[in-house]
Amino acid sequence: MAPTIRVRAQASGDATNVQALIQHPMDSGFVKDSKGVLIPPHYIETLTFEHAGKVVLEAFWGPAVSKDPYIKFGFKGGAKGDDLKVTWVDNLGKTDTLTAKIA
Amino acid sequence: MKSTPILLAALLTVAGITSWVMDEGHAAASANSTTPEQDMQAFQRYFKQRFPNVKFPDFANGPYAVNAEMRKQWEEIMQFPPYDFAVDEGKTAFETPFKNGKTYGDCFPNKGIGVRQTFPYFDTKTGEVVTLDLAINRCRAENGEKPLPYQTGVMASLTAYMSQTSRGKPFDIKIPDDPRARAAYEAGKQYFYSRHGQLNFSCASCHVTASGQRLRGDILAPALGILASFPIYRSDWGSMGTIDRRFTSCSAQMRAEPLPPQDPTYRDLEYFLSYMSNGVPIAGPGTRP
Amino acid sequence: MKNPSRKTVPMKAALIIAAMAVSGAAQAATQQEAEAALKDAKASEAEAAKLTNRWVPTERALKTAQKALDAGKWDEAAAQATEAKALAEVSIQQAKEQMTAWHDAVIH
Repeated sequence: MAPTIRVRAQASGDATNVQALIQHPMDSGFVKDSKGVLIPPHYIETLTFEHAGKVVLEAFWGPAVSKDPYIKFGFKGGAKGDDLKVTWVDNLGKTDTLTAKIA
Repeated sequence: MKSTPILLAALLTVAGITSWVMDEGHAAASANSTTPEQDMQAFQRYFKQRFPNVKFPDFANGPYAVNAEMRKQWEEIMQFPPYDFAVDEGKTAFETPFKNGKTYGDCFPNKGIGVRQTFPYFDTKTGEVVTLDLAINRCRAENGEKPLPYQTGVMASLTAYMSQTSRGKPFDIKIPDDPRARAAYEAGKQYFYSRHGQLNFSCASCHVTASGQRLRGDILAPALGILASFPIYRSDWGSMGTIDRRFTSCSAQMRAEPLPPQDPTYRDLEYFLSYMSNGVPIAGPGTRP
Repeated sequence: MKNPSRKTVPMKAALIIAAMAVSGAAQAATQQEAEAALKDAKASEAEAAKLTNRWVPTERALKTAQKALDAGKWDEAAAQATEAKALAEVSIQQAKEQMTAWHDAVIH
């Protein structure tokens, strides 16, 4: 699977600002296709950001989040050159992960 | 009959809207004897005067050029453009050879890189306006491949990639000295200014007369440069859309029955609008609300 | 320069619609009447198509009329067909008017 996670992490003083764009259909399970058939639910359930072995953000997403979701947040800690690991798991058990360097 | 009062109300609204718009300060001339060049100068002058704080290249950014609040939101989104995935898909599709070994690059000047600003052009051999989308499918047909559906999907991704390679290059649309080319231009011009649909709007109603103003929750883009950011990732669609995706949806919004994608009427319209925007740089692919 | 006829045209169309509405819906329709009304509406829509000006509500009314006709609902079919014809006629009126009126909107 082509990388689905794009992340940009910027160290700023004693904090780090993170932005991520994730490619995912995020089908709610309530939408019908052009033939009137229900598109089965397929959405990210958990999204985790880890730094230095600790989870800095864990998001519990679901059918209310739109396609190709974008997230932006900041956390205390992190320095330039550190690793930031991003992982998502969806309701069908699919998953993807990416480790990026904090700039 | 229940619907008669509604129809009457619609008609009275039509008459009301017609008289309101007619009273707007456009200098009128009955017979049209201007050249396309004169039309373009007048068109650009109008928008420069109406939006004096907009730098000319910025007209490519539509609503974001004329509304500060929207521009702030746009700059945020552009940190991580939603069309990124489409551009990647487009680049891969563009570089993948056809079954016969040829590529899209073989169909275009300069291998198809940095050429979007010359589309549409008038093909004097076939006597029709050729848009980038049409050229892509012609390329496929010449190389034994099935045509791509218009409006979205891979077609939008390909045009997204090709547009990105032309970023910053000003629109450079030509009208050859051929009566058919001039006729196509005039047909596009007529369509732009003609009212269609039950709501009795023309393209000009929104994108000239009401440009910069609100239509429900949106800010209306000026017609100058309006095609420069296509194809677009439109949040409303949650996906990419080409110029004719927008044309067909605009028609439907006026309650005019949409024409098929790449219908000659739409291609002539694209020809006119692009020529009017000569000099405005390509800013595609774009993102819109 | 304002198009001098623009105020009279919508009134004419309104009268056409009023007349059609009164004659179309007051009595119960037969199958022949419903079929004739739909054929007539489709003919008007074909003219609107030639003028590149079909309207969405016209198409919708035609589809509803056809469905009603297929289901044997003559009254509904006739009523929808009458409405479709009225809408098609206004769209033709609009297209014809716009053939000259568009000049008034051009930026000079």
